[in-house]
Amino acid sequence: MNLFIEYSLVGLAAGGMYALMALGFVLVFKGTGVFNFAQGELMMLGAYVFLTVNQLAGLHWSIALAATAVFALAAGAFVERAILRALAGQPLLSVVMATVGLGLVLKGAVGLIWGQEQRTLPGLLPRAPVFIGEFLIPGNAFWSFVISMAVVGACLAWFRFTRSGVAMRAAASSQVNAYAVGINVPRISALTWGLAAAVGGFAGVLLAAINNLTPHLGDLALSVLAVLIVGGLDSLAGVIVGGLVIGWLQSMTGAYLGGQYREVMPFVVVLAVLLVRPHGLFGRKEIERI
Amino acid sequence: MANALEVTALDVVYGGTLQVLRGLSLAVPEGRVVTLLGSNGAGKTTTLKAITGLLPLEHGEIAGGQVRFAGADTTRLAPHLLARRGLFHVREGRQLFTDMTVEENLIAACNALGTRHPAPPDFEEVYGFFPRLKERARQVCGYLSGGEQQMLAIGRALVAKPRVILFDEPSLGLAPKVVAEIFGIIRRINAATGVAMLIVEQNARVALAHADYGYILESGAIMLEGEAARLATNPDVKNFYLGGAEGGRRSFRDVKHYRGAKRWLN
Repeated sequence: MNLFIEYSLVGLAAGGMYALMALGFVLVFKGTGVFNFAQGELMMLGAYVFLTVNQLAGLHWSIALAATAVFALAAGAFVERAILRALAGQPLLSVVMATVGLGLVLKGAVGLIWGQEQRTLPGLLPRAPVFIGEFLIPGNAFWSFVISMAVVGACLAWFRFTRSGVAMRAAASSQVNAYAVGINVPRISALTWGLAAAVGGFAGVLLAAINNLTPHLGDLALSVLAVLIVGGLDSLAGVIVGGLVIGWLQSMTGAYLGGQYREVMPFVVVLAVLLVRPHGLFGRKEIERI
Repeated sequence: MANALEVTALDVVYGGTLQVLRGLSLAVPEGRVVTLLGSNGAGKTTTLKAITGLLPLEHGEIAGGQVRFAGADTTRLAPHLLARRGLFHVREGRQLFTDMTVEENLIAACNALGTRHPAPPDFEEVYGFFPRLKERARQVCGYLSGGEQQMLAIGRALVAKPRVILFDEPSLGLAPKVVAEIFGIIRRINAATGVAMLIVEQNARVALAHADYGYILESGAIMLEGEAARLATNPDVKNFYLGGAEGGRRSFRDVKHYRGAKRWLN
């Protein structure tokens, strides 16, 4: 029983990280209807900006984090303006392919600027294990979980309670109707992309602090595909539940069935969810009154 | 009285080839209720979209003419800027954000306040006119009845504290009893807030009964205009838009024969 609880806690902690990684995808998809394949590379880029400000320029981590957020906001807004708006009115597939291309360009550019070697962000998260009752959780897992949940929760509250958050959902629901109620739709789209890039930047910094940082860090992002499908591509609450469920299941599978099944289990769950609820557990189905 | 909204010689073209409006002119005086009547495809909705800047989103374009709102030239202004200046468009078929709650729809409409009213939104005015919306404030609006959805669409306009509201077929898809209720409230809103209104309708009887002035649109141009009460007694209007003429019922054959010769077209 103790083993079960301990593995559960570790799994849930990892799930919090999945939720944060998935959040960036959900923001863009919810806000603009595009699946952004470059989200992982935006994550990686954020981590490199943090590395540069924190380690190379030697500034405090809080300043580095703020710089990362500002840079990511600007980068996301730039991507929206330079690439997405140029493709307005084109088939969705072209837009999605453009994000794939953007990801490749970012990966190459970062490799050119910062090099291919592994970097580390030591000492960012406290390593001292945290005890919950008698159960032990590794420090970095615990703190990355706390930070992830705080960011996801903040986004959730922002979407629900602020005028600009509601405007973003309105623009996602219908651009024409959003215009008609006075919403500056282009600005809101740029804001959505900027926010997704900033959230991705935070996720990238946390990931780099736990693992290592290379230009291939972004590849990890696609591993949250299972989270997105279980939770629903356009649901913030789904991101939390999906992340926790997948993290917990992976941990359980590793503990009881053996490590070789860890990576397979999420996709078994995905299959089951898709059979029962094609929109994901929390995904939106169009409301149609007849 | 000064005109809140003035449209002069408006030409609208879709896709660069299809001309929908031909030299359309109309005016909405401050605080008055004006109706624009016409059959399917006459160009009523296009007129509203041209006024509120939504045309470019649908490959339409203002090829000529001018729209003046509140004394300024607003032709081709971006739609959200027009909404923020106080020109609010209640679109055809309600067009709510169906997956959001009633209250969230009202919050979204606060964007139309722009910087005119930075204070936090107070929806008491809306709930005063529509007590049923208050009961349903936290419900997802996609599940409301058609009448309640129309109330919410009007409520969103109220939140924006506009100078002119454009209604596109508020009677669409509603039972006659609900239509009467909605138009009654529209009139009360006009009396209470002094907001001017332009109501596009196919239901000419209801629209003329509630408006001060009316225009009749055919094939993209105004064919007839006048005080609503006078229009309602005009024999042609009666015949073609109110479903009957003086002298009791006519046979279908007479009507068909008559269709070819509308008097104002001669």
